[in-house]
Amino acid sequence: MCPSYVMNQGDITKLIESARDSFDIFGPVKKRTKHVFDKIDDPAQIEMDYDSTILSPRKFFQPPSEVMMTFDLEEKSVDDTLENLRAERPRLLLAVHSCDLNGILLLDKVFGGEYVDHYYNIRRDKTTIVGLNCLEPCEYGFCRSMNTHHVVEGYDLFLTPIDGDRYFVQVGTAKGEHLIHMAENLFTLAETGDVQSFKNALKHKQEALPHEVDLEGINEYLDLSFSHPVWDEIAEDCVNCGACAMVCPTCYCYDVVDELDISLTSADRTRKWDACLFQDFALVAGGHNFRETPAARLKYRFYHKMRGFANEYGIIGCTGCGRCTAACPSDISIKEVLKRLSTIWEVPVSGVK
Amino acid sequence: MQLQVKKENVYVPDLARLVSKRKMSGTETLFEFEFVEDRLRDLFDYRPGQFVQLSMFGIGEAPFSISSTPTRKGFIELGIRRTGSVTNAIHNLKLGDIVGIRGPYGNGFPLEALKGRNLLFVAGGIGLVPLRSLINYVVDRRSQFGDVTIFYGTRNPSEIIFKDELASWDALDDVDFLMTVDKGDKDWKGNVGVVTTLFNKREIDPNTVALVCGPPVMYKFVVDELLKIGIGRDEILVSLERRMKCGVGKCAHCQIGHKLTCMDGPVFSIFEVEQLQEAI
Repeated sequence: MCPSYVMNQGDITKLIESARDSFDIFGPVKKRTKHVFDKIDDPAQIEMDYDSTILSPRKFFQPPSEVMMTFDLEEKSVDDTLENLRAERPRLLLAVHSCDLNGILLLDKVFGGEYVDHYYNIRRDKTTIVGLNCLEPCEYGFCRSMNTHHVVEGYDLFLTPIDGDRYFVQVGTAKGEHLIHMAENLFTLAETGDVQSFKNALKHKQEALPHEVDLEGINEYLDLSFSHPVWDEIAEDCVNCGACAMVCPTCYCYDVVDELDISLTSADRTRKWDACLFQDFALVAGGHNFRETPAARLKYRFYHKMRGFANEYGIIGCTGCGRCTAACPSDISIKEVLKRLSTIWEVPVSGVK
Repeated sequence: MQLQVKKENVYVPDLARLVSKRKMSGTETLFEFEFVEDRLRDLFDYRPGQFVQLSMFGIGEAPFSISSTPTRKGFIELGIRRTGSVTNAIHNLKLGDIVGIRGPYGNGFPLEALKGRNLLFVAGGIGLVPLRSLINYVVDRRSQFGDVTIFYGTRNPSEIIFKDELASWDALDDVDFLMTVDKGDKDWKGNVGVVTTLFNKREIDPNTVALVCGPPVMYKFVVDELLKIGIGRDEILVSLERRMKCGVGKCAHCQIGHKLTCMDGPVFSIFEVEQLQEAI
């Protein structure tokens, strides 16, 4: 096993300085009252002690919009953009919480598999990720309920705050080891006392993070609630804006559009984030819409997360990051929906359609 | 055998040329394409029931069921209704024009499981487009299958597609072909009534695999008839329509419940469909 290290929390800015010749560096920075993952030009911008970010780190691997290929309409030729991606500078992504690391692991499954999506995977390979352990609950998250409050992989380095002023540093990959070598003087090998501090931190975390939603029986209550009027009530306030999907670390749906250049001699094929909440998402030729009502679309998103993902990829597609709840203009809380569905046992069967 | 043209970037289409177009009705035309690269003409193999993604460069890409049969090689036929921007552009293509094609994708019909079985095809409207691939496959390899019956229904005589081919199927001694229109016109001499009325005209063996494709409204009534005959839910196969953007299980546009139409389908048994809410 690769040894663990400790570093001073204040030295994160020095790590940024040491790495900036090799990487474009991104991390949490303040944007008005919230935080976002953004490019760090001045190391002092980074705010390691952040609650959550508006958008998840998904944007680094699946950008909101990307040109996949260009068509030369005169020569009748197709050029994809993979070479440009390969030529981009490597990225260092700092302070990614456990929930988001788990989200990235899920995206890895979607964009890997039988048909490999190279756009995603090239970016993924070129990114070094430094994870950050959360020892205190955040405002909207419920990671512990979704079992995403810890990670076993998905990071190159993983930092756990210890003793108030240091990080316990776990090395996950050779990329992580490489980063340590770039700034060797900042890291010292962890000693017995440091491991004890790490253990104390994890114990504190166990006590601090609440366990709010019981996933025991989720399959049963999803079965029982599919045709239940409870969905009409939940969807009553939904405006189908898709904000929940845009901020989600695991909502990967996309749309593909061709855009002609004004010269009419070339065109780009671009993919853009899409959301199953949008009215035309399940529309087919001839005008038939398989999910016509707002309630059907809200319910679908929920079932895809909680059941579709689990069936396809073996894990539930919600990381409990709480961003959808934070972003929803109608205050629909995924946690409260889950709680409500879990009480379906108490609703008499006569209420079922 | 299943051969997929292997490329590094699965989203990049191969160039194909329009070699013929045959108008089938007011809104549907059959387009025949061949790959520009000779190599691909031999390499490209598929199963009836699979689909391709067709690119109109600068306008867009859309999924289409392959309507030709892999028993007749070297070209791909797609039966396409003029309904949106991509299909409009396809209809405006001239012979020799270049498009992009990638695939084939999806599961297709389970050919091995169909061998030796009695087959009943039930097609409604342009549902005949994907079924035609399997019908012609069966016609070309007739000895591998049991009884073959085809029920085809359209709303009116003007919507009948593949007219020449329907006549050729009708002329075969070992294929029983029946058709009907919901509403006839002054020249129509054939059956009148929805496609389910054809079930009154034939005694179908319960030991039959039914292959059904048509508008969503048709399925329920056809499936009821098939269940009445005693055909098992797992032996009623349907091909579902969704607007796939990627075709390879990434974009999630064709997700139904816990299945992806592009990867797990588009061919599903009615047993699977009934477990997937919102499938039809």
